[in-house]
Amino acid sequence: MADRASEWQRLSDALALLIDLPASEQKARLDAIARGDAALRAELVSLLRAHDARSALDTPVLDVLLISQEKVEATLPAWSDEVIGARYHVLAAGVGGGMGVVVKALDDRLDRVVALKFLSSHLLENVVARERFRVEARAIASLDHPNVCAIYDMGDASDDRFFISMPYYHGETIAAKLARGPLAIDDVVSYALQAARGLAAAHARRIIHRDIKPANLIVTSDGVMKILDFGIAKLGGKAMTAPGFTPGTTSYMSPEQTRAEVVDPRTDIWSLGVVMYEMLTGVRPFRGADAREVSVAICEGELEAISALRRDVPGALERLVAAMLAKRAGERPATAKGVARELEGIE
Amino acid sequence: MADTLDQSKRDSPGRNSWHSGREAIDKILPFIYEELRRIAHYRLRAEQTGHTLETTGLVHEAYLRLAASERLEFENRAHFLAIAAQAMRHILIDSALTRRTQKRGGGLQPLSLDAVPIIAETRSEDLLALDEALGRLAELNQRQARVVECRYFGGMNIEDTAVALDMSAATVKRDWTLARAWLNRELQN
Repeated sequence: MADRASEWQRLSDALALLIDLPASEQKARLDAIARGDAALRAELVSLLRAHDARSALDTPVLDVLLISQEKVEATLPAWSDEVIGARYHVLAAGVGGGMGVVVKALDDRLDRVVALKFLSSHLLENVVARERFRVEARAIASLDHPNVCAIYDMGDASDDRFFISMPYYHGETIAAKLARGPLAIDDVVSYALQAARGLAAAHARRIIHRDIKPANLIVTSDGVMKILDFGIAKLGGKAMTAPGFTPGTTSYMSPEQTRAEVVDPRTDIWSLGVVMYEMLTGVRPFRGADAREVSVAICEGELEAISALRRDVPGALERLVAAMLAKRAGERPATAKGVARELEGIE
Repeated sequence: MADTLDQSKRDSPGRNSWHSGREAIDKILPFIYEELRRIAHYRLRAEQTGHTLETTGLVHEAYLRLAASERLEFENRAHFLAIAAQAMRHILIDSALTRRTQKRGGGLQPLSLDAVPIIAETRSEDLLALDEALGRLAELNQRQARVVECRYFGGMNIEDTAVALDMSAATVKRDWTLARAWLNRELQN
């Protein structure tokens, strides 16, 4: 056992040297290290290959928590008839985590089903953040755009949690669609166009989304795309940069966001570009073993051409996505409206 | 919020709990388990509402909740997270093993609410394979295995892992990279 441990130690040292080298220098160094020892060389090559491969370790273990639907129906009791804000009857609990919890509820007063989103108390602990959110929620409520999730109402639950009520959509998020692989070109264009239109309407009112990602884009059963969670990412600013809070979605952040710089609407254009790339190819353009590596890839990594991964993508669409993913905001399409116009041309 | 909590706990008499190893894990297990079940339930319901949210940060939330209830007796946040990572591994592997046993036993068994499985069936065998490989890695390099435990099961970042295991961030990063390559190869075979 001690032998195998020291053997691994030796391999570890060699591997650590090799991993950081550019591919062009790796081979020469590999030869130098192995010095004719074919077995050692093969061992190192297989480890380097394993290093480059995708790994189960790259997916947070919490993702294994997803269980199939039928099981639950059989095992869970009916959800409580808790009443929120004196008018919403909770019908089913939603999903927890990051920004808060979503529950399905019946709005007593207007007799319709709504989704209630509770914002995590640690995101809204101070009055300023809460007020800022209210202001933004009002702005979104006034938007009234078919591609932006509407806001019906907001209020405080009895236990001091803050909630907003919004339409309850039957549909599927882009994240759920992506779980089955890349999307058809027509669908990508249609979804991207709708998202760009929604963003354009928001940007016209000086509202930046800041957290465009597949989980925030839901396609209703009628094929209408709704952008969710406007303005909530801004709230996260403080809490998410606190030590230990690794935001789950570094992958969709713009270079300026990863550097915590001031952002403008073009950050949303970048993020939509990442989502489009992923819808087309099934993979994210900038990857890494952890958030920091992803950030480095976002800021410095070269974009792998979409055509290298998928052949049937129209040239104009590929060029548009590449432009949206320009590292410098100034080199991206200037407005979401412009992106929408380009997409209309492709459609 | 996390910062102020850290500050207030830093001076509390917590060293003993951290050093008592197994005892500390046992203490924390029920809380982590409760959090896991809570999230699992939410996730299930998510398919109905069509709204999905990230579930990362679960352990951090557990920490905040426990810190708020003042039932926390750890030296600092990072140490809590490291213990929580071990607890998480324990619970998930336990659950995966239960699944395997049920499958071999044949047929569907009636489940009580407490026994709601917390792991997707398709993932539970993968998880067991990873756990076994991690056990083999621990025989070769205990430290590397601990780093993987913190990062993968605890969702800890490089900095927290460094504090918890009393290593430099650079060494954590190196260990993580090497361990990841080794485990990847083991799991491919």
